[in-house]
Amino acid sequence: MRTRLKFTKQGYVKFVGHLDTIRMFQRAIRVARLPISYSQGFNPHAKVFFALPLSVGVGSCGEYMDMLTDTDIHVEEAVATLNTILPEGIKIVEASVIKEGTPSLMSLVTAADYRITFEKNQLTPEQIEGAKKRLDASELVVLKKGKKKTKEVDIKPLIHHVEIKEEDGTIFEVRIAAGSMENLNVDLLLKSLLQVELEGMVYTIEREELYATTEEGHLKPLSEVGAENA
Amino acid sequence: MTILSDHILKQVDKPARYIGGEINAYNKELSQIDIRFAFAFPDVYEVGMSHLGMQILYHFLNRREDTFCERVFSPWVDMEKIMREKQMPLFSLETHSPIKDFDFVGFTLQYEMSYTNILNMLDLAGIPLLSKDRKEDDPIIVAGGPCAYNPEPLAPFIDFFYIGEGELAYDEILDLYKAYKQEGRTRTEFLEALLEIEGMYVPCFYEEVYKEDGTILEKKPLHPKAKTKIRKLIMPDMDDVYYPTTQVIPWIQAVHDRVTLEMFRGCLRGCRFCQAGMIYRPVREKSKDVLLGYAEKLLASTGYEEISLASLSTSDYKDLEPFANELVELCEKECVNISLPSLRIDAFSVDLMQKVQEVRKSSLTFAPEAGTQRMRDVINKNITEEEILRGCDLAFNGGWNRVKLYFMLGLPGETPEDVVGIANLAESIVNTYYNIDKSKRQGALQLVVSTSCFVPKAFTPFQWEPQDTCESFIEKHVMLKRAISSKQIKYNHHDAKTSVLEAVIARGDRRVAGLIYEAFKLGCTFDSWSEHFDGEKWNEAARLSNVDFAFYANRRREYDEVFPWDHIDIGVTKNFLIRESKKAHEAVTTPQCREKCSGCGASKFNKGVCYEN
Repeated sequence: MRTRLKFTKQGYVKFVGHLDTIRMFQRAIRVARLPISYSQGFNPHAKVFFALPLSVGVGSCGEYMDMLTDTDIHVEEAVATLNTILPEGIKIVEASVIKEGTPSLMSLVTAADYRITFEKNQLTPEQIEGAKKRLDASELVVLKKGKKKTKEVDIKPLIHHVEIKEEDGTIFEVRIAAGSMENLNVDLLLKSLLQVELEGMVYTIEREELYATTEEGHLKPLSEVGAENA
Repeated sequence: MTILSDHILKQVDKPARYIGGEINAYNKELSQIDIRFAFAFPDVYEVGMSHLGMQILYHFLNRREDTFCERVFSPWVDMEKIMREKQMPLFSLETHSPIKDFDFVGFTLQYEMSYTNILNMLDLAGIPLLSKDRKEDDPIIVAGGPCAYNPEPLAPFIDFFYIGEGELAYDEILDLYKAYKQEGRTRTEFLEALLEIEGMYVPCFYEEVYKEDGTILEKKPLHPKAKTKIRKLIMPDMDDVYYPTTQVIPWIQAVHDRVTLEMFRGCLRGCRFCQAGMIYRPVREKSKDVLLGYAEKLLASTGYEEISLASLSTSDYKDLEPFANELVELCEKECVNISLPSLRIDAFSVDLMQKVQEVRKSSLTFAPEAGTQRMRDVINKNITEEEILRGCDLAFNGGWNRVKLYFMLGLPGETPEDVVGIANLAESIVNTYYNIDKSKRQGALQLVVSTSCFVPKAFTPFQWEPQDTCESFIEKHVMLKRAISSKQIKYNHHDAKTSVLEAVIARGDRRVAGLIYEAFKLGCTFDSWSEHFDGEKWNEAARLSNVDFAFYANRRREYDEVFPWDHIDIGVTKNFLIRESKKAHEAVTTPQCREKCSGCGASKFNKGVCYEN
């Protein structure tokens, strides 16, 4: 059975790297004694699959993983047990059984929502105005360092939507391309919009949702894709 | 409370080292707590988290409702730099509180080269480095672990040393502390009270007096209650001793990232260079069923995919065969790998290894320690060349083709023949491999020979021996390298410079504390990490502190010399060590405890292997 879990990664645990997070989940699942499936081969590993790695230091309230079990599990019970084992900051908030044959999470992801919060006085009004202007322009060209040479790339097509808000600081709510096909790095986006070096700046990034593209070309949260009861 | 910000964590390598909150870590409401204990491991997180003693004491102390034991490790150099820039104090992992706010800070002393890290941690915490400078609101600094058996090089920095096994007296100490705290008694009154608890050494109540030639005249008690002998504490019954049924699972992969099952304490063998083999006597085993029960619980509570057996010599476990069979059965059911360190290479071991590693053959590791039979007899490593080669033959026939061999250079009385003997033994192993049927060989043989530099340790029959000089070690490295001809053999050796310092500190007295202090002030930390070790600074520290390395490392001691650690009683007597030292000089071996009792003195604890029959 394939079960999709949506979980958070907030607080200090956001400083745990992607691979370490996977390992932690594999152990938590064993502690919960769920009948997790194993791969074949020299080093059998528990079959858990994540949608998209989260950079170290980035929080999230919308992470996804699929877990394969040899036998059917009671989803609500499994989630309740796992939540007692998982460390503070990681909590499963949604779970659903996924239909056989649904493409892997990794291949489904096409876009992500991020919320970036700069503390007060980190950005000047000119920088924010500049960012707004660049968003209105028809292209946003950045220099991307490749293995051999640096080339110019227009990242505008990778930006679905950006909203800049002034609250207790400056907040960027962005929806951008994400996944194995096309991916826009959040720091690269911020750097090119604000034209600043981010090192030393005080800001936080939180991922809020991951999306797949439907046949009709719409974005749909991963939790709504392939669910048996959907 | 929180002093650790996102902004700082973003700037350091492996920030998960500092956050705490792992699966199975404790969190307690501070308002409900009477005693705050910081367990301090003076090295980086992933090294400290591999340490079994920390896992045991962490859970042991936290089983008390009135006590909250938190962990603290040495911050890595990048983090330390930021902490110093921002004047951020050393903090605990569980609640990120300043270490200075704790009642106790307990350091574990696992290796001498971690000592500058202890001073650095105290300094980062804002705690005075010297015990005499600490005020009423500073934590009590306690230290334990194997290196505490020669406490003197740290005596000025530590308020009291705990000599022996932690499970025995911590409850008594914490109860006493709690009562004293409630009654508003002073720090000195508490330390005085510790003088009456067996196993506790409070160095400020003693003075070291020296002779004109620089050796020790006596360790003079300065307090009427200060005992002249401090006897180590050991657990009577290993089946009743507290053992955690869970382990904190490190965020980042630790050096040893698995369930660790402690099979027994002590060692039967009596290798003459080995301190652990003496200080943990007598051998006390846990019974098979108790061990299997722990294995099951630990695997269930951690989700680990690997279990490792911990002891000084796994093959000497009395019920090894039935235990191993049942453990293999349990682990197969749970899809868990078994790792088997410290095995002797005999038919049973090879068979067992085959059982636990059905698919992939890891490399075969063992430690003949010396290259010639004479030298192995000197050190009382009771294994013959024939046994080694037969063991290798069995393993090669069983499909292994990678072997790691550990040796020591600079053992007492070592001759050039003994050094070249290491190469000869390695070449014989190569021949053994190519003598087996080609169809059974798994490709080319990979043989790694590693040598460390012998460091004479306190409480061993070699405690009177001079260490080789640095130059001599380097000559021997070259000699051995030249003697190895097969291209299948790869040779590694440890750095001689750190070994010299280890020897200075391992048999150091209170004056060596000055050396450590100066080295720390010159910026030495992480000395056990070769990329951080700075020999020049240590030489400078030696000049500043007037410590002559040769006096401590290269001098032969007389049997009647007073040693800095003579006031510690490990059970094993000095007379036994002298007998062993003399036998070593004649290359005569001593049988292991189960074969024949040699009257080492450990029987006075009335327990363990001494009373097996």
